[in-house]
Amino acid sequence: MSEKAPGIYKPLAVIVAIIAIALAIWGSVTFAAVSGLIWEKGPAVWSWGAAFLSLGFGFWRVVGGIFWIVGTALFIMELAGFTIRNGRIVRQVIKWDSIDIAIAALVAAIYGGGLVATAGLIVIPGFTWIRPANMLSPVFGILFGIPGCVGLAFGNLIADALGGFLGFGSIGGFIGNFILGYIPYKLMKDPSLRSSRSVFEFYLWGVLVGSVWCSLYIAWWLDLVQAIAGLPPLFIWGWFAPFVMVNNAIVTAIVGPALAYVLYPPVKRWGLHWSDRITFIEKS
Amino acid sequence: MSFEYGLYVPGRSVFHRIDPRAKIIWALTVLAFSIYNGNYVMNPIYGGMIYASVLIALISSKPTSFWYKLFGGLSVAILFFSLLFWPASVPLGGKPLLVIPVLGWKYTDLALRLALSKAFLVLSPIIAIATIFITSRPGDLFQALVKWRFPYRLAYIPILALRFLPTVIVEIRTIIDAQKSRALELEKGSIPSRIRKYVAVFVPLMIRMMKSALELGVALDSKGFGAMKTRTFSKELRWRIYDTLILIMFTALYAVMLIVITRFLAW
Repeated sequence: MSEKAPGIYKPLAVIVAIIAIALAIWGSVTFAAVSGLIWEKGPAVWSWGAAFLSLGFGFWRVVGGIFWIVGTALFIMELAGFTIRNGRIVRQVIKWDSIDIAIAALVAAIYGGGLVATAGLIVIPGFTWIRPANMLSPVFGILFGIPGCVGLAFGNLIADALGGFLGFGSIGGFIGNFILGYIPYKLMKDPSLRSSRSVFEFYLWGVLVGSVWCSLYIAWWLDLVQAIAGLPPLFIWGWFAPFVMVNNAIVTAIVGPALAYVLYPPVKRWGLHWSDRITFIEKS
Repeated sequence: MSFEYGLYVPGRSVFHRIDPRAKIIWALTVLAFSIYNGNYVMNPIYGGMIYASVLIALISSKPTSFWYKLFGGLSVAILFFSLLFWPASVPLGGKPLLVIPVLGWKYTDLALRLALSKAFLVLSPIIAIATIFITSRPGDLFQALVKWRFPYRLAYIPILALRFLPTVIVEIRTIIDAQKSRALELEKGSIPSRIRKYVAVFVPLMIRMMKSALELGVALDSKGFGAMKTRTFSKELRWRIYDTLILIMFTALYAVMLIVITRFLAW
């Protein structure tokens, strides 16, 4: 998989990695500095919260709506046995045999258990908390494909149940976490993390796009069902959305590439990599 | 908490004996009445009564102390959060009712109604759903999903994950202890350096779990998992009149309380 990539990818990988890490560190440091004050002064006290709110609820509802519709369509399509390949919708055969079921279940257990075992500070009671185990999501996606993404979705549900967060918002979290693994799985051409192109793709799709998509997907869902979920829009868009984005980005930017680099060879050797277990049927 | 049976806590309470499908319908009923109250009626007394009913269901199931601590802490946190943020987010008119001296928070009757109703809207369904998991064997929940025509291979994933959850949590703790004994300090350093140290925890965990996945796959194959399109169970779930009566009782209770409270205890 790690074929020689054009030289352009080396500087691109460095630039995208620096942008992703800098944004994530900036977001988390500024969040940590004002997290005590948010209770008193509202989400606008955090620079990211203020930036989000300055764009207005209307903007986020349109942008989030686009991400939500596309994300939901992709989720349904993949589970129905179809996928996009080379710009066309093709049928894919995932066996869902014992190994796929075991992979999905163990990913769910590791992700759910990891989220619970490494849980620290609650950021919004009943909705989210600081989640170091999110670092696993793009890694599971690029290693195990759809069974890994389904495992991530169920793992998030299990963590919600154990943390006392399981509510109507968890439906958004279910698909949002699927997307967190799905985006790098689908868009990374080289999942080995052994070339500059692979590193560039990981930071672009796994860290930046995945984090933004997951965050906007869940936030838009919470906004849509606010009458049921019970979280005010001011906190959905001023606090929840930027926090989820920063949390996902920082853990995946710092740890994700190292994890994927170390785990890719054994996964490939044991025949558990998605590319060894999936068949695409392309009809002309 | 050991999570020996996943989230399930063995017992013989009323809720343990109800069909899991009836419990799921009950939780949906709680959700429906909570939504109606949280958005249209906005009566905190009614919201509090629904909350009390799910709390009674939870307590009567005799869960472990973990659940009391979890939902005790969560209830306080959500009430605090709602009282703080809902009045700030949605400025309403109404009569000034309460000023909290040290904090300086001011509440009108409408703001207080809104904040408390929203808090109960979040809390009651969460506790009702948790009660389902605490009082239902994972296998019974799996069977309930299959009976509702959920594809059984997909339905088996969360059930198997719940079975492995205790193993994973123990593994994570063991690996953390082992790495700490090798001088890994997870609690020290800047945020990025603390996050980076988790690589030393998750890599060995993943390697062990991948080996487990292969062994588990063989074990499932040897038991003929997935060989048939439909799945049979050695002990079939049976819907009894008892389940219907419990559901009618709860629905009637919520409906009667709604009428009585909105007519005679309007706030």
